[in-house]
Amino acid sequence: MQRTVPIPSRHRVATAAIALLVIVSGCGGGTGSGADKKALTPIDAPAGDFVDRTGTDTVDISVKDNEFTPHYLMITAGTKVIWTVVGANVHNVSPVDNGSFTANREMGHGAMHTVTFKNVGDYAYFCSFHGTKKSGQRGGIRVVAKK
Amino acid sequence: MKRILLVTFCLSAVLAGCGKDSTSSSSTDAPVGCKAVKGSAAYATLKVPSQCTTIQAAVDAAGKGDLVLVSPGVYKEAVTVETEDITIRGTDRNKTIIDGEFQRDNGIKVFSNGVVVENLTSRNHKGNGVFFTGNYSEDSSKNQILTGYRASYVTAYNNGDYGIYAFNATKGQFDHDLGSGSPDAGFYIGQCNPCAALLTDDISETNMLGYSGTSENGETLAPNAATTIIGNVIDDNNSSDAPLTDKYAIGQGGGIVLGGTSNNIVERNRINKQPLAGIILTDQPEKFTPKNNTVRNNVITNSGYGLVAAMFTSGTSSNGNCFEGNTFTGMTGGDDFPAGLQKKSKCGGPDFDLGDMSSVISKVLPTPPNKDWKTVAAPADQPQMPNAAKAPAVPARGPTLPDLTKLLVPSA
Repeated sequence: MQRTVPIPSRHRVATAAIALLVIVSGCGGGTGSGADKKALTPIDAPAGDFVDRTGTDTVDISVKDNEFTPHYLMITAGTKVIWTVVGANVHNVSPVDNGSFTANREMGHGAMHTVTFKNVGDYAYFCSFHGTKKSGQRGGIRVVAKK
Repeated sequence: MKRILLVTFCLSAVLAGCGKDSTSSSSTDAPVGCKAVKGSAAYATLKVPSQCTTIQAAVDAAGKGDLVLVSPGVYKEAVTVETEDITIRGTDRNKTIIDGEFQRDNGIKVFSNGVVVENLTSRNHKGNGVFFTGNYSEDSSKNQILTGYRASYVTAYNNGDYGIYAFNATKGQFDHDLGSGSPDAGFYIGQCNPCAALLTDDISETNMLGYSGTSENGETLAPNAATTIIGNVIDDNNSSDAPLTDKYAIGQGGGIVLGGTSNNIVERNRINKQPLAGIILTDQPEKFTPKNNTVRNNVITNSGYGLVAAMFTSGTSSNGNCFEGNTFTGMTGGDDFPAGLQKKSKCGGPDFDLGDMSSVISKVLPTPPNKDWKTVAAPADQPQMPNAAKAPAVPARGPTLPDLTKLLVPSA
C-alpha cells in the first residue's frame, strides 16, 4: 500500500527523531571526496538526460518508490545535495564506486541524506534495496568546475 | 584421469560445505564446477551447493533459460538476478531457506524478464522476500517494464517491507505462495498498467494487510490495472499477532485493498479476521479513481466490514465497480459500506453513490497491535511444489487464467 494519506503525528515525531539522529551521528553530512578520481565510473547517460543545477548552492533529490528524481543531475563543485525520502518504502544511497562519497545505508519516509560534492567527476549511485549498480533504482551526479 | 576427477570432486565438496549457512553473495567466489553446461539438454542445471556454494554464484553462472536448483540449507544471502528467463527452485520449500538475518535487503530481487522463483522460503530481510521490478523512470520514454515473472510455492515471512512484491512489471503470477509477518502487505503489485497479473492459491496472514494493489501518485504506469485475484486465503492481518508500520491510516487491517485500481477481478477468495474490512475499494486521493473492478463471490468472515467502497476525493460515483455474490458472517461494523452496497451494485448495472472513506476509518480502525515484524511466529510448513527435483524449468511468459466456473472458494 503506497502512501497517499497524511503522515500520522507520531510518525512525524519519529521522522524528526531519526533526522536528528542522522545529523548528530554525522551520517547525513557527508562529502564527495572523489579521492581516487581514476576509480570513478563514468555515468552512461546522454548529456541531455542531466538536469542542470549548476550555480546552485543546494540541490534536492526526491527518493520515491522506486526512483531518484532528478535521475541525473549536473552541479557545480561545492554544491550540497540533499536526498529526501518521499516514498513509503525504505531506501538508501549507495555509491557505485565505494568511498567516492558518503553512503547512506537505510532511510525511511521523511529521512534525509546530505552530501557536499567538492571534486569534479561522475558520481553514480543506486538504492541497494531496489536497484544494483546497473539495474533498477539508480541515479547519477555529474560535478563540474566552477566557471 | 580418475585421480584428477576424484581430486576435483573432493575439492568441490569441500568448497560446497553442504550448503549450510553459506554466507557469501559475491559473484566472484564461484567454485570449481559452478558452470552452466547444457550438454544435450534444453538448458543447464546448476546445483547449489554441490556445484555452486551460493545461490548468487549459481545465478551469476547461469545463462538465459537455465535452472538453479537449490538443496535444503540456510543460505545467508541477498540474491540479485539480472539474467533473463532463469528459474531458481528449491528442492524442499520448507528447508531451502534464504535468510537475511535482518541485515540484508531482499531475499531475491529480479530485474530481468521471464524469471521464475519456486519452492523455497525467504525470511528475515529488511526489504522484501522476493522482489520483481523493471528499470523504473517517471519519464515514460525511458521506463523499462519487466515482462514475465512468477513466484510459485514460495514462503516469504518476517520481511521488513512486503512478502512478495512486483513493481513496474507486467505478465506476472503469484501462486501457492504464503506471505506473513510483513509490516505492510503480504503481497503487493503496483506501478503497472496493464499488470496482467494473477494471484491464486496464495495465503496472506499476520501481515499489516493482506494484499495491496495500487499505485503512487506520479507513477508512470498508474493505476494498477487488470490484476486477477482469485481463490486465495486472506487471514488474520493486523491482528494481535501481526506487525505494523505507522505509514498508513488506511490499508491497515484490510484484507484486499484496491487503491485507484481499474479492471481488477477479485473473486472466490476466503477472507477472515480483517479488523478494518475484508475488501476495500478506494481512490488515490486527487489522482486515481478506481474503475470497472469486479468483486464477486468472496466469502468474508469475522471482520470489521465485509466490503467498503468509498472515495477520499474522487466523488461518489461507483464508476463501473461492482460487488455481487459476496457472503458475510460475523461482521462487527456491517456487511458493507455504504450500507446496502452489494444490493445496489450488480455487475453491469447502473452506477450509484458511494460514501466517504473517512467515516469508515473513524468507526472501525483498530488499535494498532504494533508487534515487531521480526518477532512474528514463523508459519507452519507449506505444501511442496510437485516433482520439484525434476520438473522442467519454464520461463515466465504471463499467467494463464483458470476456468472461473470450476474454481472453488478455498476451504476454511
